[in-house]
Amino acid sequence: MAQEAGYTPLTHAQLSAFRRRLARYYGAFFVFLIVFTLVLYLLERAGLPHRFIGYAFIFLTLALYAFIGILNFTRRLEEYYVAGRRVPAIFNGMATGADWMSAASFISMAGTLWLLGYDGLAYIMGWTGGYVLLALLFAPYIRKFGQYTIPDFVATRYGERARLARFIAAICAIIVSLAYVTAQVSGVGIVMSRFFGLDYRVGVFVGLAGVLVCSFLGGMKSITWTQVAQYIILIVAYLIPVTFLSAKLTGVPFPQLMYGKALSEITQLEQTMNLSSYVQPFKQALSNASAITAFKQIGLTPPEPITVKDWVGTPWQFLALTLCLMAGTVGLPHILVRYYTVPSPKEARISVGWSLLFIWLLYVTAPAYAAFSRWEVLQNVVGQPINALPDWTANWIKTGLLKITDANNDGILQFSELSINGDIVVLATPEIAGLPFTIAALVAAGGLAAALSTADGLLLVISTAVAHDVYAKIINPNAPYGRRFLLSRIMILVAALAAALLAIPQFALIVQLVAWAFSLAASTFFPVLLLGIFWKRANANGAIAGMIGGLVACVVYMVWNYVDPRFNVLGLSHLSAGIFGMLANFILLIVVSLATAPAPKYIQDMVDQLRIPVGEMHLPAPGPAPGTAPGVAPAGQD
Amino acid sequence: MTGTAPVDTSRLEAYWREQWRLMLTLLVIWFAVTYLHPPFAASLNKIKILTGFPLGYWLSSQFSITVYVILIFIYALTMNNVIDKKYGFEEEE
Repeated sequence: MAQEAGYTPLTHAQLSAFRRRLARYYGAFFVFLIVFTLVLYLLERAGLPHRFIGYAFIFLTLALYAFIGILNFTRRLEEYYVAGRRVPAIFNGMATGADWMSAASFISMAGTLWLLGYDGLAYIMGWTGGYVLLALLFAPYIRKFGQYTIPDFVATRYGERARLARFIAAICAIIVSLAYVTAQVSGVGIVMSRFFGLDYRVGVFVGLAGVLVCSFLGGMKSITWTQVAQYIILIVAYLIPVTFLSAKLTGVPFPQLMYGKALSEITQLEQTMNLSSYVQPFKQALSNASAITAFKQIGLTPPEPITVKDWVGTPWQFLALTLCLMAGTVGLPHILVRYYTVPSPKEARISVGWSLLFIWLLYVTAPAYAAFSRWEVLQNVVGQPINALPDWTANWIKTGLLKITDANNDGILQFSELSINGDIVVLATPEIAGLPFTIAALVAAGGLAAALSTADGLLLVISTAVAHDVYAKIINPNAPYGRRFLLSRIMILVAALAAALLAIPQFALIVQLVAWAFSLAASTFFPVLLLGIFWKRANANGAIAGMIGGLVACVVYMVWNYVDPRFNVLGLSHLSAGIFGMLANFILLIVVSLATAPAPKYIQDMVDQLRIPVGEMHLPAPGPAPGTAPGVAPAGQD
Repeated sequence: MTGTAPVDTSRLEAYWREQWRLMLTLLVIWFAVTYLHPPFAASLNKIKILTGFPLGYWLSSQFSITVYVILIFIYALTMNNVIDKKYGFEEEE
């Protein structure tokens, strides 16, 4: 099933040989990256202007991605959609890491922690804990199912109404991914403009070119192998500056261990300055400030400013947000499809472990960035004469990311006179640590890698949802391969352009959409996939009612609370709207399934097959009335 | 190959029960390390550990997420090397 003629899985021996070859290639690449950085550092000391160092990093990395993209040109559907299902667990882990960690993780995560303190840790836990659910509840079964897309799964499992189920699932996949990819594209623009002084819009288009060279020619196959390289770049770039900063500030080059010292120093400084505590939990009030900004930008009359403090000090928002982010992780199509690309369900299980280990490396480090730079700011910036601030501040005041006003005209900088954009935390660390510009350029290349790798994965999901799910499976099931490929590639271009056009105005709403993407994914896919695997009684009527009801409940709470935070349950913000979507989805799915006829026998047998971790799936033709479930292609057609 | 043969129902049910047991155990741990400590973070923060971490902050920023990684590897290795073997669900060479 689902295999092209002449496309056979690799044997064990071939797979291990392949794994060894990959380890050699990427090992060599790692060494090359370090040597390249050292050479540029020497050239910098010899007087090479900073601009050229920056360009060298951009061009080297983009050329590398293009090279991998061209090398992996393919005309095979199995390779274009799922990388030939031969990606070894550990490499799929790295690719997932790059796919997962976006510009937001790389640049903004540490800044969020800087601003929110303990409350920001909901993101750290939420964006890692979801992988436990992915490993235990989803990945091996998705791999066993062995098709191409998540709508494929929904349409087959809920085969009584395959067309409708597939259509709704494809729409959900497109909404979630388009919101997300737009933010990545704007992330590329920001990296380009902050580091290399390019115009934001030029940056967006340079970035797009980078995305297209990876995904256009080889689909998932080239995306996978590019993402592995991108993971290596981004993790090296993330770890180096903070390791040096830790060595400089504490004498020990282990930031993840030593930022405890920073936290206790911060606590003491806060007490002497009468500031609220950084590590104190649950400080966030509900407000519609972001809605007001967004409304103004798109030219609508903004709502009255409202702040609700009733729920400050209660843990509900923290707990709910954590759950939403976890369930959302498991419902993101671009992450789920990565587990179609491993050779077997057993590899899928291990692969999730590798994925999270590689992600953990960055997430366990992000709070260190936040703590060290807060320590630096409280100790060496706040309380100092304004004309004698540390050197690194000057550059960032110029960019507007750091704002200083002497409100009381005493010539001394108070904490309240300082306004910081969170992105500065990662971006300025190389300078705070006194590192050469070469390292700053490496960090920029890392941020670029993070944004591009995520954008690649998302664009492929969007183009596949249109070309495979809507066109080839619903509109024209007899479409020849050539036309599917052509449409797939055209859709990548269209989606990329759409994302660029949406990203150009830099709407505040876009940032919001990313945070919402998790709630939307949790409200639509999570319950339907979970019960599809674990509850045979779940049927198509239930799934369709659940997806629609979940989406509606989530969007209603989200928008309403976004505009008027007085509308809330237990102080949950619009970011946690997924809680209500999930709840609605589960209830509808269960009630409607029980009220209507059980799924037919052939589907229940399919669920049994899903649970066997070896062999390929054999999807039977629909039972009594052939042709009633057009989403389930008879064996061999694909 | 096992996947193609008609499913032996009783063997599959026993296998499924055993995987449920492992899965539930790990999910209980997952739940505990995610949800039981944040409500008490303010009090836990008064305790300092390692290089000066407030305990509540450390549990969320390092402990929980490290436990997640370990849980997944325990699941994957137990399923692949113990439970699958016991029920004869092994890859053919």
